[in-house]
Amino acid sequence: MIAAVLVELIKLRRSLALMLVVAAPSALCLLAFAILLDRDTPLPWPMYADGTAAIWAYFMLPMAATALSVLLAQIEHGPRTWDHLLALPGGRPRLFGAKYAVLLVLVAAMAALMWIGTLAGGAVADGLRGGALLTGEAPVGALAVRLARMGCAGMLVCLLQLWLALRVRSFVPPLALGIAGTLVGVVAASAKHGIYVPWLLSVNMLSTPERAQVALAMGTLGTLVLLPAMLWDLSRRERVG
Amino acid sequence: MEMAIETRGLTRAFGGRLAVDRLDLSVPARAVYGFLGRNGAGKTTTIRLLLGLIRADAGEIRLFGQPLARARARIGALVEVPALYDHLTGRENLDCTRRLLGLDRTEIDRVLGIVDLHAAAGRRVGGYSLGMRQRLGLARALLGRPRLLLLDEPTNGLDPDGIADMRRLLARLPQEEDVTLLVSSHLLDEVERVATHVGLVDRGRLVMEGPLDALRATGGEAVEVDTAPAAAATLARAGFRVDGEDGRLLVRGPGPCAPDRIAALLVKAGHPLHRLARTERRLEQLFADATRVGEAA
Repeated sequence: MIAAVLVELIKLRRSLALMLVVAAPSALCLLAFAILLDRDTPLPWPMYADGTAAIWAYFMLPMAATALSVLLAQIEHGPRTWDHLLALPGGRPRLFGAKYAVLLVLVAAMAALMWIGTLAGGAVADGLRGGALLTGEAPVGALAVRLARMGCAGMLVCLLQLWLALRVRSFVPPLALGIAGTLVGVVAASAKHGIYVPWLLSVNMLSTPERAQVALAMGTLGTLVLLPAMLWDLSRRERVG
Repeated sequence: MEMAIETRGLTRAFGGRLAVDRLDLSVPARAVYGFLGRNGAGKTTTIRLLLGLIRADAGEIRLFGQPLARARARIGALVEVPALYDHLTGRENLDCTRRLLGLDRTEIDRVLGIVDLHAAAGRRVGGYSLGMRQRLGLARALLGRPRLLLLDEPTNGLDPDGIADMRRLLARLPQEEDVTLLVSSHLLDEVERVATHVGLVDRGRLVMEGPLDALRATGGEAVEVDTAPAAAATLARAGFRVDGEDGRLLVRGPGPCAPDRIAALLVKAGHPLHRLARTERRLEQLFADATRVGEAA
């Protein structure tokens, strides 16, 4: 399994997926930085950090999971390397499991960049305004925990997106699912049963502790249940040509 | 004799259409086995079955006497187009497979040496010619010293030089790497130059199989004649079997097919005689005969 993960990491060299990992959080942090600089009144640090994290959870995380899963799958679909990979000795589940592991690594890397970018952007903006823009202490630890919990809750969406992206050769269905899921998430955010929408699980980390707990449990337990199903489904499929 | 591949009653249908129909293949170890047939005859489906990419509806596969699942580590394959990661270098492409197979790093240099791709190994594969891609695909298939190589149309799309390079490479492999080759192709002339054994498949069924020399010897000797087109009728009336057109005829008799007898017949009938030579049966002829019998049946 470790070898398969290392192979997936080698395949990321010079790939669009790697560029996206840097570009998506950077763009969001730059946007938050620009909006912050545009303010006339001071803002508490936690509010600034939560605002950035909210945009991350609402839009960037599900869309990044969609785009990354499509790009990871297209690394194989594009040149049609499945025949070669699946004909190799060794279990097929490790190949698909490694893809999922690398997707999670990439999402974690994006979350880490979000954490750095949010704190650095806030500090720089505050510094440029002579320390009059952000009040209170920077929520270094709290933001890290929040982003980590968002990532854990988002594992289920990553799994669903990757499953579909690996299952179909075309990138259109997984992309459509990701866009639709994100939009449904925005609409259903305030709905009573919105907590059960997988694309909203990360957003619920900003909600009440009870709701956040349910969402976190759904994200992680749902992943544990569905991961074997995905590996079984993808491994038993035939490669007709 | 040790068999690299044995299939018995191998059958696979797609949507009610039999792609492979009760196929009984016997490929001896260390042979270069030409797996021949028209496009759509079932060659690629058979190779996919041998690689475990699709499941058989019926029948069994044994590789070196073992069931497919246990022998998979002994197979290398190049299926249709050389599927490579264009954004990676040649060496990185090989490294991906090497790691998945758990092989030593030196394996990469070994296989690059076999296909003579050392100089280009550091370049991105996206810039490779089709011939280089095929050689890299072959190098990848050779990782781990497989005992059996399944090559599906390895000369597809190559220019004449690329085809000649690939042919030389394939001819060397059985001795140098102690490997059995199954080469599927619809280019009969190409396979004829490297194959020791052939299997002819038509509409999913094996219509002929055996050592190439033995198959050529079946059906008696043949004589190639360059003459006038009308000579075909003359020879046919004399009891010969005549194939070919535009005055280039392949003549076989029900009995002895002596060139002097044919020459005398043509001269007596007043046909011009430009060339006359004994010939071995070509694969193309074997294939035509075998599929004609199949169609008649």
